[in-house]
Amino acid sequence: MPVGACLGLSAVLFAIGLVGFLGRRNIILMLVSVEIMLNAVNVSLAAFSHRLQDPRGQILALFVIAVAAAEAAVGLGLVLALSRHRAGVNIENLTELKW
Amino acid sequence: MKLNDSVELILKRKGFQVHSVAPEVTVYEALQKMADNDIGALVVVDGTDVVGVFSERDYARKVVLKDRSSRELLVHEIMSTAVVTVTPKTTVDECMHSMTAKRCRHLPVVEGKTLVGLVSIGDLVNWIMSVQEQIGFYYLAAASVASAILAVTRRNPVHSMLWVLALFLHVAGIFLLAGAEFLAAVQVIVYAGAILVFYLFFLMLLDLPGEAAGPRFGAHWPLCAGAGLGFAALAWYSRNLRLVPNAERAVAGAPSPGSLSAVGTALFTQFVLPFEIVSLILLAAIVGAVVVARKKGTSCWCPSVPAWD
Repeated sequence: MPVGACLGLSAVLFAIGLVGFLGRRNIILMLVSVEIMLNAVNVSLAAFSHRLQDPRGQILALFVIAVAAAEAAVGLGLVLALSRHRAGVNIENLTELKW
Repeated sequence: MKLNDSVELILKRKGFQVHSVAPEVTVYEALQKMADNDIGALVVVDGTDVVGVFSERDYARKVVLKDRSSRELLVHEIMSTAVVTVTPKTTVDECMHSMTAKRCRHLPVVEGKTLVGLVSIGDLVNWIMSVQEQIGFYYLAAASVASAILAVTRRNPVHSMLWVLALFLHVAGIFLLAGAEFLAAVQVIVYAGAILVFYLFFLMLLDLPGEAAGPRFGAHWPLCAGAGLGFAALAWYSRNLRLVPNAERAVAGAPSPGSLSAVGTALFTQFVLPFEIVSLILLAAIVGAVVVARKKGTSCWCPSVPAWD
């Protein structure tokens, strides 16, 4: 289990998730790109946990998954409330908070 | 790491130290040395020349079965003199064939007549296992990156989600390779099975049209490449740190750190407070999602009933 290659994979997945987050215009797919970034972090945590023979990395990854579930619930609730708004969920139209 | 790698690579990873004895040492002392170092054979050297190999098999067959005393016999009376050796350039494959054909488990590595190292059957097994693991890892890594790129670039949102599902499953495979079995199970059950289904449900509920590739897509690639390179640089830096496994956990008899019992023990003793806080976070998320997403004018408690106010 090559730790260095695993961390490189984590960096690449994070960058891909970031491209998706900044480039997408569909808000649900932006949230999904955030999930890709969180998965990248989990891969990094699992790699270090394996290298250092420490269960704490895996426990932190478990907490990341739990918090991601909570974030998905609240985020999608907000999206649902937003979809009833006239502007819809295309982020090009959601510009009220932009300075 | 392939099957036609040379013995030199194995020795570079394992070390060039060889445990050896002189021919005039008693069998008892040789066995003591093997026990102290937790090994199964010793090379018998006279100065720097290899004269024989003394293994546990020699002790079992020539001392115990013949009912002789290990404290009186000397190593050179019992050792195997027909030593099968390999050179540093011999391949792993050839070593395995040698061990099978000559029925031995330890191969001294010699350069000319000088001993440079020893390769045991355990070292070869370890090497083979890491080859298999590496092949598995490279497939999972390549498939994860491909799934992520496809997920981020598909126009149809449902196709995007399905590629994200493929990503989640391959990441679960990577967790398995890292010895995190519980994490892999949670990844499949919670991420792929619950969170993704939740996203898909909302996608279909909102019935959004497929988005055309806008001019903004890919405009931020320098920032993303910079972030990725930043993390890769951190990873490169940590490679030189020579991280050492946490020694205090390597207690004899303790469960292996990746196993479910180790994770469970830590989770419910050391991390019980964060664990409870996470359950509170999930409760807050459930309540918050219901409150945020309800239609105006319906009651909080029963969304299908009109509000009293």
